[in-house]
Amino acid sequence: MKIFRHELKKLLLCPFLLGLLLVFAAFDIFMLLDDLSPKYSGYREIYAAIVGEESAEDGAKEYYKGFYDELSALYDGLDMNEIFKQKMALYFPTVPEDSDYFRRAENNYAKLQTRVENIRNSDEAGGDFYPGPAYKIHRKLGGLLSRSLLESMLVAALGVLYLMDYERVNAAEGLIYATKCGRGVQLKKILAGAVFSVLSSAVLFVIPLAAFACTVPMKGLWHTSVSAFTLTEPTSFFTYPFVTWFKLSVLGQLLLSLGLCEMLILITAAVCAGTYFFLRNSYFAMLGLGVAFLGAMLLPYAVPAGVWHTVSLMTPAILFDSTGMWFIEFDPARGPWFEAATAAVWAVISACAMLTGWKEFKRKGM
Amino acid sequence: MKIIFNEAKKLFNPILLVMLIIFTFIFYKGFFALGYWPQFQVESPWNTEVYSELAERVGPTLSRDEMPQFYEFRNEIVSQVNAELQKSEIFKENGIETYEQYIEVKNGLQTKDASGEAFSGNDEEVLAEADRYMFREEPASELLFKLQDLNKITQQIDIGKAFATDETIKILDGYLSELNPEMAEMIREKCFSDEISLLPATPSNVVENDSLYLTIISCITVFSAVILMLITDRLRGIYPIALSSKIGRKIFKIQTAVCGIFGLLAGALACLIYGAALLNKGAGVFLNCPMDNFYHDMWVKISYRQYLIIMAAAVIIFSGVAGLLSYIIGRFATNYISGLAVSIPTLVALCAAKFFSTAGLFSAQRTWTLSRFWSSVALPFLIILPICIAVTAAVCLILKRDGRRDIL
Repeated sequence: MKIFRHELKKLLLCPFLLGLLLVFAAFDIFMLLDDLSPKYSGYREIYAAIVGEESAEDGAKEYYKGFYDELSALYDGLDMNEIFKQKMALYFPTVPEDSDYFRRAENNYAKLQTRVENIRNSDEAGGDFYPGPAYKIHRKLGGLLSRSLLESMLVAALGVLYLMDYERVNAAEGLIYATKCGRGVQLKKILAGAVFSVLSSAVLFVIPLAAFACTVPMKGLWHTSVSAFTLTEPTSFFTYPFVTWFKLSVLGQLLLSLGLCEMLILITAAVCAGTYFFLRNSYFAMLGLGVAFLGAMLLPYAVPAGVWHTVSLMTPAILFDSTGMWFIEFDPARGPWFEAATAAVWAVISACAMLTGWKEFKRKGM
Repeated sequence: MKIIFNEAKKLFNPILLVMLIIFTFIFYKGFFALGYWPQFQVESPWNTEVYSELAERVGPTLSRDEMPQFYEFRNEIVSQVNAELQKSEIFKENGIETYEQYIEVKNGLQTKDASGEAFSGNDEEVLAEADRYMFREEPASELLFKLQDLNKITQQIDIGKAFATDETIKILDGYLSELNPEMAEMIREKCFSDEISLLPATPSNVVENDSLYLTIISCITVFSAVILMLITDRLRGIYPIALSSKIGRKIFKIQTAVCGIFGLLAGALACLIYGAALLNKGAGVFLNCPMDNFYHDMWVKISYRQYLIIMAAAVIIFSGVAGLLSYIIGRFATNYISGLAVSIPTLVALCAAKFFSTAGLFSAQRTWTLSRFWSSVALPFLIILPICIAVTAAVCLILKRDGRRDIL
C-alpha cells in the first residue's frame, strides 16, 4: 500500500502532467465556449420559451413553436428499413443482399423499426428541448465528450508509461528489478497509473461539463428522451430523429457515455502497460500506440463490408470516433450492444496483453 | 564537420524511422485530399479534367479572342452528348435528341417534382432516365458533368462576372454596393479583365487542405526524432561531459543547427514528395493559371505556381521552427514522457498557427471586413514572424547560457 501511495504521489505531483491537465482543461473550456458563443444570450431566451416560463418573450415562443411544429412530423412515416436501404446504397453499394453482413444489418434495422413503433406510441417522441437544427446541443455535448476522452486517454497513457519507465530512465533498473518484490512494483505502478487516469479524467470531464451547465440552462430538460423529435439534427444526407436502441434520456445517455469513457480510459492504461512490458521503452510504446490508434481509426474504410469490417469497427479508436452517437442507430453494422461488446472485448484483450507482458517481464533477465 | 555528421546520424533511429513511415502512410491515406484527386469537396471528378483539357488547347487563361476556340471545344462535347442521348429509346419516344432539349425537359420535370405538381404521361420514366444519364450511364455522365462545368464560364459572362460590358456589370451593382469599397473595386477590375483563369477549384483547395497535413507530418517527424535524440543524450549523461570542455560546449551550437536544418530539410522533403505527387496527378497544366478566378477572389494576383511556392515555404518555415522548438523542449525535458507531454500541446499550437496564417491566403473571402493589406500581408506575418523571433531568441538564450554556465 505504501509503494502504491508513493507511486500515485509521483503522478499527482508531476509538474508536466499537471501542466498538461491545465492546458487541456483551458483548451476544452475555450473550445466549448467558442462552440456555444454565437448564441450566449439566446440560450436563456429560448430556454424560457421551451419550459414555458411566463417571462418568455413572444418572439422566442413563436420561434420555438415553429420548430416544434415542423419537427413533430418527423416520426410520421419514419421507416428504418427505407433508411437502411438508403444507407447501404450510399455506403456499401457492392454488398450482395444474400450476404451475412447484409442480413445482419437488415436484422438490426428491423429491430430499430420495432423501436420506432414503441417510441411513436409512447411519450418518448415528444418532449421539449433546444431545437436540434438550430442549437445542436446533442452534437456539442458529443464534441465535448470526444475532446475530453481523447485528452484523458493521452494523460492516462503518459501517466502509466511515466511510472513504468521511471526506474529505467533513472538508471535504477538493476537495483529494483533484482528482487521479486522489486519486480512486483510494476504491478503497483499500473494500479497507481489507473487510479491517476480516473482522477485526471474526472477533472477533464467535470470542468467542461461545468462550463456547459453554466452557459446552457438545462434544468428540466435533462430527462427529455434522446429520441425526442426536438433533438433531431440534420446531417448531409439524412434528417430523422436519433433512434436509441433502448429508452434513454439526455442525462441517461450522458451518464452511460461517461461510464463508457472511463472504461476506455482504463483500457488505454492497460494496453499501455502491456505494450511497455514488451517494448521496455516508454517513448516507443507511446509513439507505437499513437500510430496504432490512428491506423485503427481508418481501418474500417480499408476493409470491405463483411465479418472483418465488423471486427475492424470493434476498437476503442472507432468508439472514440463516434462519441455522441453511442447507443443510437448510426452504422448499419452496429447492433444494440455494439458499445458494450467492444468495451468488453477490449477489456479482455488489454488484460491478456498485460498479463502476458507481466509473465514475460518476470522471467526476463535484466 | 565530423561532429555535425555524427549529431545528424543520431537523429535517424531505425525503429523511429519505421514508425514514422507507417504513420505517414496511414496519415496520407486518411487525411490527404490528394488521394481523392481529381475530386474534392463538392466538385465533380470531371471538373478538373475538363479545365485541364481546355487549358491544354488555349493556355492558362481564356481571353475574349479565344472564345471561338472555347465554343468549338464545347460543341465537340455537345455533339458527343447528342450521340449518347440518341441511343436512349425513352428519349427518342419523347423527342429528346439534343443536349438543349435534354436540359430543358429535365429542368422542367425537376421543377414540377419540387413543387409537388403531379406528373403526367411518362414524365416519371423520362426523369428517371435523365437521372440515369446524369449519374450512372457512361460515358454520358462524364460528358454531361463536363458540360455543366464549361457552362459555368458562360454563366459568369452572362451575369457580368467575366468579360463584363457596361451593360452586364449593372447586374452586379447591388452585390458590389454591399462590399467594402476596396473589395468592390478589386472585383470590378476582375469583371472587366480580358482573361479568365482556367484554374478549377480542386487544385488550389487540395493544396490548401494538404499543406496543413504536410506541416503536421513534418513537425511530428522533427519533434519525435529531435526529442528522442536529446533525451537519450541526457539519460546517457552526455551533457555534463560536453559541458566540461570548450569543444564540448560548442556541440550544443552544432546540435541546434542540426535540429534547425533537420526541420527545414524534413519540410522541404515533404513538400518535394508532395509536389512530385501533385504533378503526377496532372496539376502541372495549371501551373501558370492565375489564382484569381471565379472560385477565388484574390487580393494579390499570383499564379498557381507562385501559390504552391508560398505554401511550400510556409510548410518549410514551420518545420524549421519545429526543429528549434523541439530542441528547446528536448533540452529541458528530463525524461521521454515529459518531452512528449510538452510536445503535444506545442505541436497543436504550432499547427494551429500554420492554419490561421495560411488558410485562405490572399483570398478576399477570408476576411470580408479586413482590407487588402491586413488580410493578405499583415495577418500571416503577424502570426509567423513573432513565432520565429520568439523561438530563435529562446534558442539563443539557451546557447548563451550553455557557453557560460557552471556545471557544478
